[in-house]
Amino acid sequence: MKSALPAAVWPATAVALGGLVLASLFVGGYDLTPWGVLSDPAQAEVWWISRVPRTLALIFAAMAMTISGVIMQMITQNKFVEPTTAGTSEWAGLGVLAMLLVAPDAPPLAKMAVASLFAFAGTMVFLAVLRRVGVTGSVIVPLVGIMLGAVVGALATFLAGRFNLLQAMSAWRSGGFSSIVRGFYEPLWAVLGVAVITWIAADRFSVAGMGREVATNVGLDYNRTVLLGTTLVALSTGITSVVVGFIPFLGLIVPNLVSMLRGDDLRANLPLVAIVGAGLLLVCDLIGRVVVAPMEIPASVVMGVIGGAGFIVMVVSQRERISA
Amino acid sequence: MLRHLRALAVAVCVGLTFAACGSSGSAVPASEPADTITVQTNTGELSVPVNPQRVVALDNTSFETLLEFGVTPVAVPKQLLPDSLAAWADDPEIIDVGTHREPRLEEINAANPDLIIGGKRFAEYTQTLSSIAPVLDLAPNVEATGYLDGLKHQTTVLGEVFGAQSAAERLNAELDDAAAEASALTNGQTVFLANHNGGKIDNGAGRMAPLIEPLQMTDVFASNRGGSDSVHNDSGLAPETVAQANPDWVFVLDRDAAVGNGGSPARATIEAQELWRTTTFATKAQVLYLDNGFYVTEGISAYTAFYQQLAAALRGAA
Repeated sequence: MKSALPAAVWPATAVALGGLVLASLFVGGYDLTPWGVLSDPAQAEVWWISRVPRTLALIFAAMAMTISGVIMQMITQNKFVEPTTAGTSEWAGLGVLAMLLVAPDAPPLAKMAVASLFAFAGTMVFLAVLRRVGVTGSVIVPLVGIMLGAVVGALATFLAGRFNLLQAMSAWRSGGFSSIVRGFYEPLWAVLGVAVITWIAADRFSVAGMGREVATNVGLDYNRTVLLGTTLVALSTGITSVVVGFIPFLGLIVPNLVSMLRGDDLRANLPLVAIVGAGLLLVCDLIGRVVVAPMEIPASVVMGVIGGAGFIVMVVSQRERISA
Repeated sequence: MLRHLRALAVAVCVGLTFAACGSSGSAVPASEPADTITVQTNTGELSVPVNPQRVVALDNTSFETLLEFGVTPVAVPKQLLPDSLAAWADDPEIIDVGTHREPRLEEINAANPDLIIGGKRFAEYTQTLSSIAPVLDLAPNVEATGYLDGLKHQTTVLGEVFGAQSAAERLNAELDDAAAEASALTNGQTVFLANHNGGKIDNGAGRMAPLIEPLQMTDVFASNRGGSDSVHNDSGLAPETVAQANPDWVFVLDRDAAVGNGGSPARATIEAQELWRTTTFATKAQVLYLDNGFYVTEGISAYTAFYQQLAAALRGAA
């Protein structure tokens, strides 16, 4: 079920993303010009140490969150579920806090592993609660997730308050991309692996998205598919949380936007979801870089404003159209 | 939601306070009615007893000054004490009143104080605490008087209250001398006021701007968007923006180290930053790390010590 404008969509999004990447490479606190990057070693150094890593981090983080959103929406058969509305991000945050408490000097990879484990456990809890409670309403499911997330978030805040880590935690949570430089973002490359695996397994997730009965009838190991999906989501969310903190709503509005345009062909949509997601996060970060220069507003805050509004519009306008 | 919980907790505490008032008001006899003096505070003129015996100290900027005056409070927020006041923290006779996030108001009431030195982090409880004892709010107020004059006013008034006028004059003179000495060595150098929090370097101007009040130095990120309480003073800051500003000096408040978060110290974060290797402050090693106690007290002794540290560093750089 392709939309009427598939031919125009690809070149348009590619050009738009290219423009945003260029903007991200040349807008910021240090004055850089394309000619300067080529001719002036000082500018080239800042470009390679700061601007290129930051732009890559934005693209990878957007991929991580949007692909996580797509997978979770399939697994839960609900259009409004993504890491921040399922509590997954809050669990990852609890993992980060646990590491701050127990082993503050641990290397980033260890922190990511723990955050991913917490995210995995949290997502399993969410799925188990959904199954136990038996709720299917399109708005109720994310509400359950948000409530679970709020409980976990409250626990994290309580612990942070107890151990005098509130400010450190808020600095990390809304961390955003301003402090990303070479040497701090590299784990995000792993998101590419998650993307490839998701693309390969796309059809399984599509079938799983039709529900346990249908999936089992056509010969799919439903539980294994759910486990694979949860693992991919946990990895993406864990890594992203440690490196850049929370990015709300991105995994929700982008997959929905794309499937409104092109229907629900997961495999065909996946690249477009990643591209649109990267573009949107780049826009948010660019706004954050410009409006209070030389200071910055975290991309996650801008995303929260745009995404929150988008979420409400979708809930209100899609209620009758999205039956899942 | 947390705020509601906190409000509820405060309401419960207040309720307990009043309950305690009714039952145990005469358990510990208050000291003999002493002379009172009227002093100027952040909440207007206030009549307070001279030489109060039972003092609750809440304002962290007053702690070291009280120690200097030989005052031992009956209750303090033990988690907010600097290392220099470990004697208070370890003293079982001194009651712990919790922190400003979760103050144990009933403990303050049970301490039966003659005077509460409040304000600063505990400013929101001033009204409630006033039902227990006079609340003396002398926390330095940047807007009203400037921070340094606020510190000196606080010291002078505390000196009068505790009969330590000569010690107060000495503390004020030490601050003036140290600030003047440091100021004489400054001539328009640029400075970045850095706050190290959660392993990141951010703009700390909101908290640290008072440091450069008496100095001929310019904050490279001085706020041009509203007053010192502008929310953007402590917003995120990209390392490349600092490299672009290329300040002569960096003053670093290591919050992580001050509250014992663990993690790597500010020095490691700054020295690991590739983008700053060619900046003036890095090549000339003009980075000044504030004493960890500074963040905890922000009192007159901490400021005096900072200006002495700065003067020594400026002389070394000259």
